[in-house]
Amino acid sequence: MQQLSASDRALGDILVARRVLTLGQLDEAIALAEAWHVSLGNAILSRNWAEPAIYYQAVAYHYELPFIDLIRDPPDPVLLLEGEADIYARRLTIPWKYRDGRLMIATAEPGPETLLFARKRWGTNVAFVVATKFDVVWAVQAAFDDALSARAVYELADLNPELSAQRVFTPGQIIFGYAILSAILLGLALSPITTLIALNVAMSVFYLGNFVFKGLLVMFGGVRVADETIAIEARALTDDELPVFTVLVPMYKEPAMLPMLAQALRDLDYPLGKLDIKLVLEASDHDTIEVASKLGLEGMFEIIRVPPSLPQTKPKACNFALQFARGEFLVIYDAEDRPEPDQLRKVVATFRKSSADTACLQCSLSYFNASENWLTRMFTLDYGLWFDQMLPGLDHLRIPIPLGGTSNHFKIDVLRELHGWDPFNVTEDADLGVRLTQKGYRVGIVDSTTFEEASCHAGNWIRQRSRWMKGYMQTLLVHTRRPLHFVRRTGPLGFLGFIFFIGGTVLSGLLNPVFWLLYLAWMIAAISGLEAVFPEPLLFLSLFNLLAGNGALMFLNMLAPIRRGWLNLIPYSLTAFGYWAMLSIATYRGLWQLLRNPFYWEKTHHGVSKHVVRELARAREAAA
Amino acid sequence: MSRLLSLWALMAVVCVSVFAASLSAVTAGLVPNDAVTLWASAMTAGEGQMPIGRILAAYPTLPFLATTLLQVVTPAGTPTPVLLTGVVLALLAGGLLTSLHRIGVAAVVAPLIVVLIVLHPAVLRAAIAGPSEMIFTVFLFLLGCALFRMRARTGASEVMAVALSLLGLTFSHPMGAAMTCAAVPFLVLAIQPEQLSRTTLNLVLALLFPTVFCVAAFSYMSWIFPGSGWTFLMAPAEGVATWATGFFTLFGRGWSGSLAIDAGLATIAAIVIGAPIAGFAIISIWRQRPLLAPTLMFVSTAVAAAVLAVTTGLFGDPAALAVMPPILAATVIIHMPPVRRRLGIVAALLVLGWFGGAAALAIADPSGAVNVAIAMEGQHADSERSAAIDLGHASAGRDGVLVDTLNAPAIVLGRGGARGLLSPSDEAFTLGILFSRIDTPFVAVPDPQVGSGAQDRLNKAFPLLYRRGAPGYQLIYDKAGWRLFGRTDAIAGEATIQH
Repeated sequence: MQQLSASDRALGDILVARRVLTLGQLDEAIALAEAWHVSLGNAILSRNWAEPAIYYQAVAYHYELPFIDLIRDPPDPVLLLEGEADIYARRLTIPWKYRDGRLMIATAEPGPETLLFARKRWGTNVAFVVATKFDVVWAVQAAFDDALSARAVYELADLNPELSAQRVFTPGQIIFGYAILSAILLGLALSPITTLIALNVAMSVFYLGNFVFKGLLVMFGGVRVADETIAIEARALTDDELPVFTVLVPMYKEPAMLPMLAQALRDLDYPLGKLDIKLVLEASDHDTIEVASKLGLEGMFEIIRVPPSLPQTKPKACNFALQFARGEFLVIYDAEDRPEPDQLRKVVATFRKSSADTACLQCSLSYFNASENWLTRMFTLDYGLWFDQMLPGLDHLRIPIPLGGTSNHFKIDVLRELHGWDPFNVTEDADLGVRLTQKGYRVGIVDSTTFEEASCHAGNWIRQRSRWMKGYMQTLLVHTRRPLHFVRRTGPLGFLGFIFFIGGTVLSGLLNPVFWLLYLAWMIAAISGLEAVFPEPLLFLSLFNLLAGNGALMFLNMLAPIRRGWLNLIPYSLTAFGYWAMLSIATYRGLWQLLRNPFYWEKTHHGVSKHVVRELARAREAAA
Repeated sequence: MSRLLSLWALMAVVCVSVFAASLSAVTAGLVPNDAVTLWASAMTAGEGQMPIGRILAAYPTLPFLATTLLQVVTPAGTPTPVLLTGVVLALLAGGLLTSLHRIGVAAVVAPLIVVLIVLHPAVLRAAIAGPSEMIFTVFLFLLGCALFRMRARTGASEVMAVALSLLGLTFSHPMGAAMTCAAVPFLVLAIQPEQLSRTTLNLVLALLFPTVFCVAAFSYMSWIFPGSGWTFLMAPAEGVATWATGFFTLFGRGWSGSLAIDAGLATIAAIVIGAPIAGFAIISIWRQRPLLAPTLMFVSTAVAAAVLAVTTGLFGDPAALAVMPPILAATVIIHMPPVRRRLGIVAALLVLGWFGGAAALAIADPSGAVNVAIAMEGQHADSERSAAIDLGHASAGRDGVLVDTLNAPAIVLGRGGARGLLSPSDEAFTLGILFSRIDTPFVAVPDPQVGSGAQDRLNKAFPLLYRRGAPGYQLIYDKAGWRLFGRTDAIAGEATIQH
């Protein structure tokens, strides 16, 4: 625990004298600030005990500096440098105007550190004014909207084009695909049955390899037991040992989710004063912005307005917000997420004991509305297989881990070094996981779960899944551009694992209907006496794939809920066929979109499940 | 490094010893009919002489496919089932040694324990019985280990291990299928009590799903592909009769008056005599339910499987369960720390079990014991097979021999392959029987009055063929109940035998 500075103590007295705080609140704020190892201001604002403007006016009074409103009186654009925008945002300090020959610096954190920084950066002829941190962030956004937005969109594509999905197919990939297609067509023209058998064999090898690989992942991943040690280590961390943690919550047209989201984040067992929560909202999403502004959120919540630009994707919004992030670590949550309260502590504890090259930790994802209907049950089985069984398997075998949509925790420096997420990739998380491995970093797993809302309507589910499938295709295309480089970085097992895990997921979606149709065609042919069209080897291979492949995956699905003890879901695995049919629809839809509209972000609607509707109603009642 | 060397050395010694022992057993005619059929089928399939329908429906699937694959990749004349058996047992020995090293058994004692287990009379018997029983043995061991692990922690990988062991058992030997069926009511004993409070039946569903699905898929494939039939469901019925004959020969009217109960009692007696360490283990861990429950479950399953096999007659000769004692011994040593802490007693009990194993074999595999007695008197244990092998030798080099190889698969072994034989899966054979007309270059039939000659498909279709031959054919071979006839134009210039 660190004693509060004399300056902060004096500031506290002023706040009490101005009746901004009661004495009791001050005592509590001092205790929190000392325990959390943060400034008094952070403690007060995180408890929402003072209006930011009033608090910062007191700060200005304390330092005998003028208080300004940056929205009404914005900085002189001539003084601002585009390349320093992220520094302004992180330091909460920005050149404002020239007055009487001196450069006036607006800051939300007056004090010795800022003074030193300003003198070093702008020379000794500077003077200070105080502004709220929200105004500083707003001023930076207003001044550099276009530049920050362009950076969010193009940084990776400009600096690392071979790892960006901006170009969907490279010329090499087009030539390769064209050659394969030509060879198949030629084969079909010259020797159709042999070609069909050869194609079937190739598909079978990949198909079966995919199932065997997934089986191995479950075998290795299933051995993993609940990590009690990390839970104990997380509890043992004192508040002052914890770093500032940035939480990005990209949202779009989800105003109803805000109260629940805010509560879920408040429930985190982490010093609120050390949370840097950014609600990342599209500037055009007036409803959500309005609700967020009126909600009276605590000081650790900030609204980042993302200026309109294409592609309008979540990774672009996150890249934009990343430029304002002040934490040592960063996590992304979706609006409907319910992380386990000790998640951030576990992450810090795991990072502390992991190797230095560990740049990201992925938590498990599961659903809080698993039992709502058949689709949510199947979706839960699917997620259980992916996050509880296969990702630990990938971790065990040191195969690149494609990150899941939320609850991936990053070292923020590494994230910046890698130029953030790929805004052109619609599964930017999966891509980033593989990119981290390609760049020599490790992605680990943390034994903590974030509960989400499973899509409970078929249309919504297909939209979401078609985006994922399109994203996997983009990720596969991006990371197979330089296969030898990939093999050198990750080893042959890593490369094969990536191909089977990402490629296999896409390919099973594409191939399943082919095998089903072949089977149907054979049945029709058998009825109409055209068996000759299906020679025995071809029929055998198709049947074998159909039976062995589908049976194996059904079995893996049965194993998925065991870790969480959700044994009531096991029988639903028997109905997986219907789920795969939907998966195939989504895969073909994703493929179509990849060719027609590769960067289009299919929005998944949240807040529609009965569970959430009930919670929202309860929240409204409580508010009333 | 030294551990790796000792591992390889042990595996090599086991492989070579078993290879030699099995080869001698083949010469002495001690190999069961199932193994001969498997070998002949693998030879036929390996040469591309078997239609895909029969390949798909061949049962037991795993040993058949493995033998066929080995047949394809090894030079002609290699005794593939014997080689496969040796390799599989060597792998089992390697796995056992690695497990013992991992749990901290001293490097000097571990190989001794492994040798006492893998060269236990019951394991040697399984090795002689061919790849099917050897693979069955391996899966039995895997099941035993998986049950202990699942009782300790019912996680996904543990459930997977039990489920796949049951699947492997089912498709490696008919008695494996019996074990799987018998295991169903006992599976709950091997589930962690915390999971039992939840939906237990769902977990049982996950444990059995791979087997049920594969059996259904196997049946479907058998139905789809013409000519494959449902033989896998019916073939072993005669095995129970063989077991019963041997049992009554050795023990008179039996013990309890019910053959099914006798089969169960025989399995228990074999375990008690062949694996005294099991009794010691149970006493040592009597109050430790996580160790007791899987042990009892494993033993109960084996006993129930023997009863089930004899009651239904669907799973063939329950003698395959004779291998249970050494496998149980291996499992308890690996999974029961209180047992393996007393290595002196463990070694002594294993030695005792080794000697007891010979007696236990007589109880669990009475027909095998009878055959061994015959072989020790210097006679061929199976004279019919010997005759078929001789016919195979005699027909070598002749193309187009119409013969029922399904009834006498040893002909294929004697010939060294199926090429040139026209067997029931060939169109010529089917058409010949359908139109009651023989026009192939050669035709071979056994004496319908002797042994399985009455079951020969050609004898059934042409009852006088053996005695009178066919019009336009001359007898060119007549020995030990087999006759080979040649079409006159096909044997021009060859010596013939007059009736």
